[in-house]
Amino acid sequence: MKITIPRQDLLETVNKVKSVVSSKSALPILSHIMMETGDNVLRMTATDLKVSIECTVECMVEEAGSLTVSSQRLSSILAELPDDDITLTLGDKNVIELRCGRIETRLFSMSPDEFPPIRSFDGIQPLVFQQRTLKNLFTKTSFAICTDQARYNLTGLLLEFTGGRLTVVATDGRRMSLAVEKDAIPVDAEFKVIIPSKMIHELERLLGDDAAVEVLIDESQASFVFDHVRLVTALIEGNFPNYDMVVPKKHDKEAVMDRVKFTEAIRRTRTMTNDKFNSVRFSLENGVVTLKVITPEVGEYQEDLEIDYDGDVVEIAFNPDFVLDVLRRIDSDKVCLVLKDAMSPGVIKPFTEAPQDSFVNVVMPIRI
Amino acid sequence: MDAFFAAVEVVRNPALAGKPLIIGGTKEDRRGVVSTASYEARHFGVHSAMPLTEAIRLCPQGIFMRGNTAYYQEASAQVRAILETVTPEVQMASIDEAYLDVTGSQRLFGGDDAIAAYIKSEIRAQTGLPCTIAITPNKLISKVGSDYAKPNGYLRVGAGEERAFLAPLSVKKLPGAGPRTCTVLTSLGIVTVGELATAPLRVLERAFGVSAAVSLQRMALGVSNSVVETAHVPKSISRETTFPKDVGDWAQLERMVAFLTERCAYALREEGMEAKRVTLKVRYGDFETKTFAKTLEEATSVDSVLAGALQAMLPKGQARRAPVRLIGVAFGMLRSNQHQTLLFDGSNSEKWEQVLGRVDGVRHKLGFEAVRSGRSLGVSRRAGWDTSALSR
Repeated sequence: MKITIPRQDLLETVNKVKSVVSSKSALPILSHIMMETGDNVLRMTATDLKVSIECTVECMVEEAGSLTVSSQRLSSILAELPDDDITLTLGDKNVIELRCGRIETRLFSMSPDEFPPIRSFDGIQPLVFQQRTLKNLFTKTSFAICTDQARYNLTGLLLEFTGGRLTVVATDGRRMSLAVEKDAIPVDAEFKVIIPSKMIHELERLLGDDAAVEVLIDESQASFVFDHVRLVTALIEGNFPNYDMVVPKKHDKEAVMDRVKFTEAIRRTRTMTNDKFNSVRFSLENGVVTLKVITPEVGEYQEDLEIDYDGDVVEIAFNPDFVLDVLRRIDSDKVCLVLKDAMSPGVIKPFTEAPQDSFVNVVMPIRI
Repeated sequence: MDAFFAAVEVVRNPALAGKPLIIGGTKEDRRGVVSTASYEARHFGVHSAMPLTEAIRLCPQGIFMRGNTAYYQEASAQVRAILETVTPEVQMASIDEAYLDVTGSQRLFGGDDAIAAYIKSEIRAQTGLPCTIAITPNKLISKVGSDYAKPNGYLRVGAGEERAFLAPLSVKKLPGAGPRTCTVLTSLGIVTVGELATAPLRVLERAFGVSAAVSLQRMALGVSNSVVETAHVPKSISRETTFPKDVGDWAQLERMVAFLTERCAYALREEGMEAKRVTLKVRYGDFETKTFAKTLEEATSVDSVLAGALQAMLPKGQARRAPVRLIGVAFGMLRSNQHQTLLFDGSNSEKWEQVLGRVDGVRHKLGFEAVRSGRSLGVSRRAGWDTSALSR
């Protein structure tokens, strides 16, 4: 195999695929990137056996073939090389020769036959979304994905598509984030899958704006195809909790507040918490919420904030990090806090005129 | 503790008393090293870390044994429990060494001499083991002093006497002065700690570099600022019991596990913590020890959840049909209980937490045994001597 490609193009493509490469794998081949030539294109593949990525980039193919190369090594060399054309040649005994101007390096590699094949989705009808739609839903909710591998079924994002409406849900058992796109695409298809968090983070990184993304799903895997990228992931098998049951429907105390002022206040309260006592007490009464932190051996903090509220007095405590995580992902000027009592979940959502909420966050309180 | 492993063996088999005893391996295990030699064996020149072959050559009439770590750990835990009755400020430096900050125990016991006498007599009475105590202004002097005063000794160095105490000793006695340092010091004509203390710093700096020279001289002057480190945040909480006689009846063992779980969970809540990992420990009559562990989905401090996980592991312990010498439970992966409520199936454990909060309140007033679960009734603290340990 022999190809020539501008250094910048090669570097950008390597950077796209390399974050999928598993840093600590028992199989040495998984620390490598696979390169194959096509019709004047180079196809690059990386996988950790669960999530796989394939990227194509234009290049000049002088001799067709394939090779594998250590992703770590290649990306660090490319980062240091001057901007010039790079020629990659596979020689005898899997030695790769990399030339860039007057620089010449040789890299030992492994046989491309050892690289695991990536599943193809031939014969499956793709659903086509706008990239921005998915990216938006994922960035809103992915923060709430559970990181504890002991609760495997929660370590991914739920994607439920029914009647042209796409709902995504993430939860770690303490809070839940739900976002809906009502008119995603007018297609009469249905699916309900859990996509692993690593895949979601890759998509958040790579998805663009207006262009289309094809989504292909079968019983055990899902694939996202867009621009020059194809991502494949194993689905998380298991039951996702009934999210609809968790969203409170009979809460009667609704406060509306300025998002920026509320965010700043919560950030201030956090200066007085620590690992052991990470809770902020909210006292809502007519037109005002009092935020209070009492942390033993550290100190106290109190702040009154004007809000739009005329319900009964209610007191409740939350982990301020959970509240901030939500506020960071809301872009409306005003936010809504809906409560019932000290022991019932709180709901935080953007304040809009729309009849149905498209972004709902449920946060469980800390027992006072 | 003096010749700790050897002393434990003598307690187990008094016929060994007064004989040269060498722990580390039998005469056939030629490749091992000596881990402990009794004082009788030390007369022949045998010392710890010496190759066994060398020890056999020096002391062919010695009694050579492989040693039993489990016994030593048990004895060490017993000693620790005694030390913790003197002060909570106990730092176990190793299996047979501990530092205690007795500053706050002076009035309670009536001075250094009384504290030392109490510790020595309690350890002797409860374990039969000899020990050496040095009560001094800092950890450095205590370390050197206890080496100096053993076996079965007591040494007191008052404030201001540190330098005078160290001065006549060989520099080899200082912790941190290894063979190479000592060789260099000897070549400089420095043999005693007193000479090291008065040596010009510039001479030492040329030989050892600035920072090493300063720390050597500080040591020689008896200056040490290190504090007795008692970690206040436990990494795990455990309770275990050794039965006076091995037990083969698993119904009885199950009750004991329930009892230990209850005590452990109480201690957990007293620390304001919750646990995510539970471990069951079983030591059989032949000292084979097995542990079984399970990681819970959610951290908890609720008795019934923790007990359920432990009860589920009992069949594993029972699989080996041997009588049981010791049984214990441990909670790990601790974190402070923030009382964060949960989205799914959380209400049940919240109610339990509230009930247990009340139960603990009663226990504060009337003692732990005032409220007990039915499952553990019939077992009491006196069922065997138990070693409680807040392991760090």
